[in-house]
Amino acid sequence: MDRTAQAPRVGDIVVISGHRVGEPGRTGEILELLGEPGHQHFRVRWDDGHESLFYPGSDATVRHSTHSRASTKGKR
Amino acid sequence: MTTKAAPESLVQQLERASIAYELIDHPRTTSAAAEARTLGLDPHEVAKTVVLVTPDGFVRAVLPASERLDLRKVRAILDTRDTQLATEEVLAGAYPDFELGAVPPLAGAGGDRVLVDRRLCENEWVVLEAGTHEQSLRLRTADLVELSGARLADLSQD
Repeated sequence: MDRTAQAPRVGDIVVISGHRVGEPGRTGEILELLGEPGHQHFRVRWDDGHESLFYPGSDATVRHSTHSRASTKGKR
Repeated sequence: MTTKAAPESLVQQLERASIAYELIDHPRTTSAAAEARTLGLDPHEVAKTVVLVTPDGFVRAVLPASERLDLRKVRAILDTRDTQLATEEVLAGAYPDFELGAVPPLAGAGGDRVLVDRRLCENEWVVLEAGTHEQSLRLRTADLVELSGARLADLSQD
């Protein structure tokens, strides 16, 4: 994952870039922060509506939202 | 209800690879087609893994839920006529980490060869059973092929 200056927060947007030309990326909102630093993962609601536990790879970036919260509790 | 989670051996392999992946909880399903329906996906986006027994060990054949395995093609690819579907008894003994019928193409017994149907490479991402009937794994098809050391082939019936 791209290490941005700020730590991920609930409400931030995960962006996964497409690997092939013309392939759209995927975005989702972080609902919950899980795991320890270095092994952090998130519960994410994706733009197609489904939710999953997401383990970021090197191609995932987190876009900080002005509405994000530092809480690790899920937003329901 | 508590979801039966993906086995640790699978999660560890994914973590070591440092790839992006998702674990998706869902109501219990016992076929890849039902898994696709439950997740609201097209069957060609969901893969099933069929375990085969050969004289040289197990082979895991991965193909879209919408397709049927062509054993004749697989025997030609493996260059052996002695290729059979693994029985439930064999699966239970060989893959104790996984629920019966939910063997993924990754983790578990080492040394298995993996064949991936080329049709799956038409999609950037693929969803498959995560070793349990209550959780799916979504990862990039390219990562699946690389991590499993899979050989791409035409495995489906015409």
